[in-house]
Parts: sequence; structure tokens; C-alpha cells
Amino acid sequence: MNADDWLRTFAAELHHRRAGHDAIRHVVAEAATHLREGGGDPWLVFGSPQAYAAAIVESIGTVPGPRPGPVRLQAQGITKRYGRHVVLNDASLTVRAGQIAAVIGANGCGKSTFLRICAGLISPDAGKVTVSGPG
Amino acid sequence: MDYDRRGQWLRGVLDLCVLALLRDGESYGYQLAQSLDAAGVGPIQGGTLYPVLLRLQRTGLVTAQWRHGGSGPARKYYRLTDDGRAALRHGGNAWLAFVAPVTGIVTKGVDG
Repeated sequence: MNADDWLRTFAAELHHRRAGHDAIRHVVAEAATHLREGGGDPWLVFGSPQAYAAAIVESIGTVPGPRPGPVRLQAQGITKRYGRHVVLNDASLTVRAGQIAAVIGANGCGKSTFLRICAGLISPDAGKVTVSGPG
Repeated sequence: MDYDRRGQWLRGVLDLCVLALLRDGESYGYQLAQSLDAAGVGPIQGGTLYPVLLRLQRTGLVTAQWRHGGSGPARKYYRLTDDGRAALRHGGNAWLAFVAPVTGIVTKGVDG
């Protein structure tokens, strides 16, 4: 990894850690200037791009993430039984615009059933799903 | 071990050293590192120095400005603020009050 690669990785790490765009520009330019003036291996001068990005973000802080938008999906008190087998018991999920949600769990715990109910493909025994979109 | 020890001491006073070096005029990262080395503190890597400069900037003890310094590339010049001057006075006196008795104790230990 040469100096340019190091700087590129460093910039990507700063983005990844939610540093502000202007701050990233300045910090990367300053590191580049330092390397140009002093020479040296960026790994020795600054350390790994990951560790240095973490130290920088600790010094300058991060920008707040995008504010969550209006509620797009609201599933409340979802209960589903197959015979005597309770697949879902009072499960709830709220997802706002711009959010990414993951439904995780062991095999057979009801993830697919829950998502089918959210999508309106099957009906819950109890609870309510509200989906609202912009269009 | 001596190298680790020096690193730990530096972490405690590098901000004060930087403020003190900026007292008589603005400077930039690479030059500050060279000044510290020339003063006998030893080599300061960029990975140690810039986080300190950025923290000083964020807390308003220094301001920074990108400029072409005569010949050479554009550099980010740091300058002491009034708050920085006050922090230097306060922190510097606290350091001197701390290091004097430490030196006294250690000197007795080493000489004895």
C-alpha cells in the first residue's frame, strides 16, 4: 500500500465513521501535506488507516446521522398461531423512512411469518399492520 | 519500556507543548513536530500530533487556516487564541507545580 492508497483508505475509514465531509477533506489534506514534507511510510507516521481514523474521529467528533423520517411501517401486537403452535406472540416493529431494519432469529422462530404479515400476504390472529408510503 | 514511558508522559503534556510552541506565532503540523524533536522531546509522529491539534482546534484553544506559506505546498497553520493563551498559562503552571516535586524526589533517588 503506497501513500496514496493509505490516504484513500484513511478517507474511506473517516466516511465510514461518520466524520463530517469538510473535516475529512481537511484532515486527509493535512496528512498528505505532512507526508509530502516529511516523507516516511504512512504506516509508521500515522499507523493503520483504521486506527488513525478512529483517533481523528475521537478528536473531532462525528456529524449526526440523517434524522429518521415519518413512520412507513408499523406492526403492533402481532400474534399468529398455527393450530396450538404460537409462532408470533405480541411482536411489534416500527420502521421509519430512511431506516434499514433487519429481522434476525433462529430457524423457525417466525421471521418469515412476521414479514409475510407485514407485507399483507397472510393475516395475523391479533395485531395490526399499517403501511404508509409517499405514493 | 523507556519508549512506552516517554509515550505516556507525552500524552499528558503534548497539548501544553504545542500551545507553548504556538505562543510566539503560528505554525503547522510538520514544523511543530520538528520543533519538538529539535527541543529534545524526541520524534513525534503525525499520528500522535494531529489528533492533539484537532482537539485543541475543536475546543477553541487554537484556530487553523489553510495557506500557501511562501514557497511550498498549502499548509494548515495553527494559531493560539486568547483561550489557548489562558489554558497555556493555567496548564503550564500546573505542570511546573507537578514536575518540580517529582524531579526533587527522583533526583534524591537517583543520587542516593
